[in-house]
Amino acid sequence: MAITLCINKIDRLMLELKLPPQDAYYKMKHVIEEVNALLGVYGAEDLYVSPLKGNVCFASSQYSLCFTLKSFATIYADMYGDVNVKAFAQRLWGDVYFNSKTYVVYF
Amino acid sequence: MSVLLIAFNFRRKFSKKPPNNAAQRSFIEFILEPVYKIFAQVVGDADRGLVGLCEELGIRLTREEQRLNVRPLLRLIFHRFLGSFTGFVEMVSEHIPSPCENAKSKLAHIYTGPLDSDIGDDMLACDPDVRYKKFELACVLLFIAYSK
Repeated sequence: MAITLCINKIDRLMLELKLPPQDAYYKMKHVIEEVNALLGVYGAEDLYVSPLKGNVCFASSQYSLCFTLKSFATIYADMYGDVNVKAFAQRLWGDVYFNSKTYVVYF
Repeated sequence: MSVLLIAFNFRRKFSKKPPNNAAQRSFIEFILEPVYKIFAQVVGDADRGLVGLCEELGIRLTREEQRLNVRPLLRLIFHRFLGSFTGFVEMVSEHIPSPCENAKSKLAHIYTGPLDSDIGDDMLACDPDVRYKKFELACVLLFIAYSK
């Protein structure tokens, strides 16, 4: 048995509920936690889903929008090169912060 | 307003603690905010921002496409930018075992008939040619096709 989770209709968080990005993040995190809690009830801890494991994807089929951490990291890699996709994807979820003051360039 | 960020030597620049009060988690900064900005720019100000937005995302729209309504336009932009559901396909191919490998454990869950029959053997072997016909014979009252 394997379980993957696809969180669909994420556009509604933005367009209908008009949640700020941070609240949208908490909402998605909550969805994942709910699923894991349910898996926990059935003693399937080894099946826990997490974006970091790669078995959670985010989508909005209405807007043809779909990504995982890895696929989004790949887009950055394709655009800017020289990015370790796997390592980058591992840093795109959870309480991880990017030190933007010194190293990020807006253009 | 820029949509994407450039990350240089990103490995050393991530931390568990926010570098300042305004700092957002990396998921928000690198993924959600770009998506939000695409929505905002296309919904809010499609006429002026569109060319710059496409340039930044590295995609091209023809003149005709630029004149589309907001919803099909967003579809088109996200499709060109993120690809056609590659994230989902990748996830499934990476994490879901192939039907042949998985047949044994899956059938134990969903098939109530005997597995040591002809039908059982064909299902375990994931034989596409015989399965349909035998299913039809086997399930007179209810026809359910399980496939991945």
